Amino acid sequence: MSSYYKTLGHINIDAFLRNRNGIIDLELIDAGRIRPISKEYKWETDPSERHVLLRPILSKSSRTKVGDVLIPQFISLTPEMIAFIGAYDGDGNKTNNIGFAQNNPQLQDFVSRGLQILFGDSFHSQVTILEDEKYFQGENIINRMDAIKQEWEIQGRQGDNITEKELREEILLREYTSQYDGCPPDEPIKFVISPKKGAQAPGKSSYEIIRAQLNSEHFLPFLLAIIKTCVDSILKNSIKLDEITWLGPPLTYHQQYLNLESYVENGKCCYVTSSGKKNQYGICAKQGGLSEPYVEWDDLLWIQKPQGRRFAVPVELPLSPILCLMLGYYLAEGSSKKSAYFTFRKKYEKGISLGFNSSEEDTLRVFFNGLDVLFPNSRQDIITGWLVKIGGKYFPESITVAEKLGIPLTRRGLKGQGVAGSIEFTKSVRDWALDQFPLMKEWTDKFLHIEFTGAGVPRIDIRCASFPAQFLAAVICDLLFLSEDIEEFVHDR
Amino acid sequence: MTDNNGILHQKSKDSVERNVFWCLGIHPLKIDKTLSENPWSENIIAYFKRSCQNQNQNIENGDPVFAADLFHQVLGMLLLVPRSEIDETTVHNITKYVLNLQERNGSFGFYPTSPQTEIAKILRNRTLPTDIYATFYALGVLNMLGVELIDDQLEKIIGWLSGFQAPSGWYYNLEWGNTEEHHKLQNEVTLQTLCSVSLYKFLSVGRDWTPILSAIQNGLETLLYMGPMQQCLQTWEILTCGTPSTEQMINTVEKFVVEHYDTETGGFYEYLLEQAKQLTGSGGTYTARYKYDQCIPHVCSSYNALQILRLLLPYSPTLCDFWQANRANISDFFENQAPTTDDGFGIPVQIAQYSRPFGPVSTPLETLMMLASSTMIEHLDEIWKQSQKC
Repeated sequence: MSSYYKTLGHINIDAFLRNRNGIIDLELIDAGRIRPISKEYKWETDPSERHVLLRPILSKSSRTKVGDVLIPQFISLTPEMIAFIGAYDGDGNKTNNIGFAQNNPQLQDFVSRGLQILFGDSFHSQVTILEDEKYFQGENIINRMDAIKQEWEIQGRQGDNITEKELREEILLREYTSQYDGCPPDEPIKFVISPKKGAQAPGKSSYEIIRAQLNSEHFLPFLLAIIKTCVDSILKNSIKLDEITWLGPPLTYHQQYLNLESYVENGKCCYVTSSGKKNQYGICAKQGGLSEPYVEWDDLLWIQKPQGRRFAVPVELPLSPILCLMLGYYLAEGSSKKSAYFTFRKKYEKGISLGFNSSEEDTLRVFFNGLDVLFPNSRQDIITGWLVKIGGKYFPESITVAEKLGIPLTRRGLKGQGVAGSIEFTKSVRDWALDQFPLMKEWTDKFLHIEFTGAGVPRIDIRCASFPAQFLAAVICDLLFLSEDIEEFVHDR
Repeated sequence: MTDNNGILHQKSKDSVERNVFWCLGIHPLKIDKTLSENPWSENIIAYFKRSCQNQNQNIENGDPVFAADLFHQVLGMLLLVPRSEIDETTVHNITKYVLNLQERNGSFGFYPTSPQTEIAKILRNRTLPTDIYATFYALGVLNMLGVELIDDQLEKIIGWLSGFQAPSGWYYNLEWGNTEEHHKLQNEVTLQTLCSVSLYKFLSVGRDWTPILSAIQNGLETLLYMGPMQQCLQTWEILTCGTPSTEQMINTVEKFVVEHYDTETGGFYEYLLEQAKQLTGSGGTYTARYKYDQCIPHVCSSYNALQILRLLLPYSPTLCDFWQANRANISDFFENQAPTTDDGFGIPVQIAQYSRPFGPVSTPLETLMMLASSTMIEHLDEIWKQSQKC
């Protein structure tokens, strides 16, 4: 984590546990489900060492042996730590072991660093690589497996002894290794190849990496409770909750800011276009006098791509808890291809876009609040529309709705992964979305359509204009992953 | 049927009768006979009266009004509401609105082509706002309200409709759903085919029905949903006057109906959640879905099962035994339903643990089904008795 970022608050772990008598009891809302989470802990605080020794209380019948975990008594809520909280809330494991599902190694490392701050070296990690069986039915992959088999036979292995499973796992291992330029972390690797992972057609991938902390499952409730308490305090704009202290109102307070004027002027917001040309955002004007509930600055900077649409950003982008939390959630739920954050300045990446996807209203609220900070007064221009995405698992419910209405449920897209055509169904589901996510009522006019895609619960997908996409990608990448490179642009308030 | 003297001539009455049978599988007179015994008859009458008035208001406000809803609402109103209580203005406005849905090619669509309406905004970028089922429902509404289209327009509809038959025999509209046929959701093809066949029959147009009959025969075993199964069998009934073709066809439907029955509630599932894997020692099964997902028996799926039984009981000793064993429980399922706050009926579709039901709770179609359920059950008893005599 960056050495020069200043803390925006802290969590007092001793107070956190004391306030709950060591009992974590919470309801986590996740993917349309309410997960009741409950766990009791014993803890000892060593004020001199500023550590808390945490131990889960297991039932008498439990044969599991769980060691104590040493946690800092005070956890600094730095911009990166807050972003970690958002990222874990988005893509982290909510059951079993503490772990994080993401394909991108840099993102995995980012989350690992956040976990390290909390739990130190208490756990060993294990990587699980998941893929759909359909992936191995693609012609290209079949050829690659044949090549590996031949390679192994040349090395002296008997062809009859080489199994399909071994070949599939070797393919996945090679892909994983290449993500780390041939040197992945030294961790045990497990493979899960499932027929229901989610690939749509032979050869299509549903590759996913989960890095789990072994034997950490009894500490997951503690982690989730910390995350929920933090997110709630930010959304409620509460400065002091005894266990969490923010140095100022978390929706606005900041110790440092990113000077976007010099950041943009110095070409940090550059990107490669589809023609291979390197472009960058430029400043068109500076203007003061605007103020919004969540912004305290006076000056706005109007920036644009060459021949692109201009839009306003703050001259001084405050590194406030709400912005950092939004960036963290964006890492998990944002529409950009994660690996593109690290390459879009060097090569053309069509995967860079601006959009957000969630099934929880609080997460959507964080996204909207974050947009207010990044693009003051421009939200209406930035957000182009929203839709409801419905995963294939929920076709039965969708057809039941259509049957209730007495209509056929039609879809577009040759494989059916597309827009719902039945207008009666579209209106019904839109009405459901407005009821389930009242926050979206502000955007009723920008509703686009219903889309059948993926596998998950019906959820809101927010589509944004493309003109600020590379700008946001640059800010996320630099603030969270390359902070040492932008130290000159980050100033104290 | 309620006295409709004055407002509707005989053709309208015939049209109501025909559409009640199309929709519910029984004659309206039978419903009339059991109406006084229906504990919710007042609610249902109030529901249809109010829903037609609300639609009139929606039409005036430019809010979305769909032909499918109107079809079921007008049907309910004409079936139940005494003539003296039917608002002439409402009838006039609905008629005018539905006529307005017609495009030059004769087909009917979803909204009058005013760009200011809310639904027009949702539909932006769509070029052809008409469809097979909207045309079927709109024509049904017009006929029930005593409006007859001139021959020229009917010919246009016939010409337009013939373009939708796929080589497989099924009818569907690629403009609204260009998904490859084998990826289509099942009720997309079955309901559009049923509407197409019904339109042809209504317009007294003869065709070579062999491709449709083959498509149904070949497709029956692959059906997973109750609605499409019922739609296929109804199409079959319309085209063949109800004679089931083969033993295999009967066996497929028997198995389907029995499997979709829920002994606990007496209702029928629209779809059976697939069992992904059995976990030994855990005392239960894991499905491919969240344990909080609730695919429960619904009014539509359960009434559609009754419609299937109506068609198959005379030919299936298995289903006769099934009916005898489960009749009381099935009847309880319908009797246990209560009206929602708007006096209509419907079971919420719940996804995971979202606090709000997915889609509408009560709908005009389900309310009609609830109105007819006890009559249909008595009708099935009669069929069962007949089959026992044979």
